[in-house]
Amino acid sequence: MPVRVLLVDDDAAFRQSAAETLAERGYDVVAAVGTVAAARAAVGRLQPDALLLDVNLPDGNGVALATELSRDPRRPRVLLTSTDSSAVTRRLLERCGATGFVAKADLMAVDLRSYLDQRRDR
Amino acid sequence: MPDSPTELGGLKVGAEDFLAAVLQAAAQPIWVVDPDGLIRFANPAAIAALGYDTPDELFGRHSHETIHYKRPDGSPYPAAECPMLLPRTTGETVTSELDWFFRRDGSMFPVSYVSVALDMPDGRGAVVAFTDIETRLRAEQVLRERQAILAEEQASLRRVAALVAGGAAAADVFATVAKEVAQVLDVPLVELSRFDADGAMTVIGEWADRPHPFQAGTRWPLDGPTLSARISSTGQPTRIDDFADVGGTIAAAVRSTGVRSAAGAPIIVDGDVWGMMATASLADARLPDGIENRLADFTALVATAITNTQAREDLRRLADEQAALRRVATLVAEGATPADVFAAVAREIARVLNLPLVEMCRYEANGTATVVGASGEHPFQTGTNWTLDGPSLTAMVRRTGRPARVGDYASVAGAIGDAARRGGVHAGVGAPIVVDGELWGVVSAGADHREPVPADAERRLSEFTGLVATAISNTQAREEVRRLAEQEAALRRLATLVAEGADSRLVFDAVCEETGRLLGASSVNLAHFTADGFNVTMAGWSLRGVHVPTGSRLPLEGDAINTLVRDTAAPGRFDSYEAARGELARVLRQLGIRSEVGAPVVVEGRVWGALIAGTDEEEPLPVGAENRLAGFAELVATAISNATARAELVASRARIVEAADEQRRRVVRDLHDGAQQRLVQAVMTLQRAQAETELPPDVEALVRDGLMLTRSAIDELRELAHGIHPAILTHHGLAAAVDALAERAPLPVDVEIPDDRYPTAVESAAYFVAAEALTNIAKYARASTARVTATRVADDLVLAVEDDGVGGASPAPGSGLAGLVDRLAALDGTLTVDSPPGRGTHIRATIPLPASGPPP
Repeated sequence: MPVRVLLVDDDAAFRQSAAETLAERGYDVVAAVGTVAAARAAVGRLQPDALLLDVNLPDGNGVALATELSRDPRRPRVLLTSTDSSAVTRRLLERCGATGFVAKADLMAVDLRSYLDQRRDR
Repeated sequence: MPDSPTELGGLKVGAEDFLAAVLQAAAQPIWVVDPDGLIRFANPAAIAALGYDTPDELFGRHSHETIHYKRPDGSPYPAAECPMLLPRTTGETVTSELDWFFRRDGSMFPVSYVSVALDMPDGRGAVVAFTDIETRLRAEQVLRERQAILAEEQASLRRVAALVAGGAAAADVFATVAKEVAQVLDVPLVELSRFDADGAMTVIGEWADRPHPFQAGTRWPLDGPTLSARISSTGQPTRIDDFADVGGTIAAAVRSTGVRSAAGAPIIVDGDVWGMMATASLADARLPDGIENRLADFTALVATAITNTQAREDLRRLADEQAALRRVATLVAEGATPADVFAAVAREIARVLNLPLVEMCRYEANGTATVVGASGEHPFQTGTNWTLDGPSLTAMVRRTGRPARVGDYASVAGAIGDAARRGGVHAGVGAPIVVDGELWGVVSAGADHREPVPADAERRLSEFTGLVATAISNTQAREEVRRLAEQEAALRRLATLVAEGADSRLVFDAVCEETGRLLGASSVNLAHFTADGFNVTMAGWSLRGVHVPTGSRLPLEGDAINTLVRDTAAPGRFDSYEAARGELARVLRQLGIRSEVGAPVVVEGRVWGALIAGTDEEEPLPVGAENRLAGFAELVATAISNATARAELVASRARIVEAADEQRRRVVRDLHDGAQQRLVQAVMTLQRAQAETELPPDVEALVRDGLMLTRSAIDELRELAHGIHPAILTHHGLAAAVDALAERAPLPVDVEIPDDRYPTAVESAAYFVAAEALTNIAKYARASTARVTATRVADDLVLAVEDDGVGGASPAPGSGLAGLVDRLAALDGTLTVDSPPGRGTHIRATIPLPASGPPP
């Protein structure tokens, strides 16, 4: 079964290329949204396995959403990303419960499976 | 036989004829006695002296038996012992200064005689010439008697004079004189009286051998044409020989005593008829003529005694008064309190003027008078307050500003008059107290006895009021000076605080306390009037916890000094909160504050608020307190202006910094959203291109290069953006941003910063201090570890960066740290660098946090 991924980024161009890349890698991009509010709704509706989440959203912070989602019993795996490679510190990462942070420029280069593939066990 | 008498001047007169003629004519009684003692011849003078009519009655009779037969005491006188007949036997002349002969009618009379022997044919006889000395003897007797009386009188006068000279009391002199005069003049009653100013007379001394109504101290009206009335009006000695028809009180009393006639002489002192001395005789005897003139000698002495006594009395009184004035003046000079001076003056006046009921009053603005000092038992004691209805002394002096006198309080209406009568005050005088040209009050002195108040009492009283006025003036002046000095000192202290830029709250609290103590108030509050109609209490002080608590916020309405000051923008007072309406008034009543004064605090032409002093005592704060308050209110206004100005300055600088920061954040955001996104996309595109299989090697190389360059560009832009303003600081705060710095640092950095958010400007300033410090450490410190901490200390955020490197760092002008000093100063913050060489560096930035906490 392909891993179902929700894509959250306010830049349409990135949504486009990221979705293509993820699809190429065998992921099922169930939706691509641009705000925290939309992301929340999509999580509730679609129950994705994972999120590719930009930290810099117009109506809020990706880190805060990640923290929120980490309390969710279904706990989708959250991979944080940003144009700014130093947008998230280790501490922030640990606290928010995301599986990792990868700069957008490095997304193509890393093995996304370690971040997205394993469903978190309760 | 001597020469013949016929040779008398050539006259040829016969001897016997001559002798007969001489004997006949001579006034001197002469007779001749023969050797047997028989009278042989007696001349007409002798016959007449002895009371006989003819010579025949005497001739041939025995001389001794006829005229000399008894001694004066009646015992028989033998002839043999009679010296008159001796010359018959002895032939010697015999003279006698005093002997006694008998007349024909058996009466005796004194004589002096000379008896000369006369030879006769039948023996020796005697010729006796005698003189009737009865008249002479009687004249001598009268003279002796007169002399005795005179001596007695002189002795008496001397005794009295001695008394007077010895300074005896007048009463003693009068009593003594009365007795002496009675004795010397031998009269049963003597009295001395003084004529009083009101047309009556007072008996001042008397002596009598029986009871009578004219006792010392009694007073008699001079009605009726009595002795006293006559002497009083004429000033001449006079007498009345019959009181039967004389009218008037004195005459009636005189008659009741049994006096028949009386005489009197005036006592003249300093040319005035001061009084009189009178004597009287009883029913059967009439006073001898001229007795009124003899009285005059004594009255002269009495007058002297009185003058002396008066003089002495005057001197004593003067000395007394001077001593009293000196005592009071000393008190005044030593700076005694007015209360002490008042009490002392009241006592002295009572004593010196012999008017025991004294009170000193101050005239109040509301037309009443308050007693400030008193002496004696009467209702007008210190502290009592009196309305000036009715013609009392206090009211009269107030109206006229001049001394006044009340002769009898029986007829004085009004509150004071009633109290005076109840208290037994009979009459009195009052004198005004004028301080610095204004009528301040009055001193009244009164008597409870019936004697009239002396005419000079007002004048003497005025001497004291002058001193009292000086005391009051001095005290007021000293009080004023002291108060001013205190006020100046307090203002100076506060002004110093303000000038040093002390914290506003400190200044406000200090002002409240200083003002409270200076004015003697129970509480002081500083209130701020907000634009939306509320009264906010900014600071307060009180003796007993009765001030409105700091921070209270109440509607600015109702009856209170706050609204009054707001509306009038002037100092004012509110004298009673008892019936005041409104919540402010209610709160004040609850606290126990009864009255307040207030002064406006005017900042930039607006009534910013008010400085208010209140009291929980019954008496409101003294008049003028609100004006003194105004000085302090101005200080507060200055402090507020200063603080506001400073705050504005700080705020404007902070705003500048804020604006700059905002601009930077925008730049960074734009960079992020714009160029950085595009570059990332470029990278991702190139990466996808790379992932395509079967790329010609030169194209693959180009793609690889392109990627590398683009990545570099991304990194550079990122660093640039971070340098301008890291997004993580904006989104996640100081702790996260410093964490990020630490992650990128070349040495281990320990970060201990709470996750709290602070105002943006504060976070930025703190972050850039940390960034600069870490950069310096990385570049110069040669440290092995570093540590960044942020702590909240009181109202400041303290960011500290330490390292264990070589030290010696200092914020040289133009360096990154120097730039940070300005940024910090704009926030009222400070930067300290502690970098002893060889011992590492400790950088500390202290940034004030606003009291209300970070913005949401």
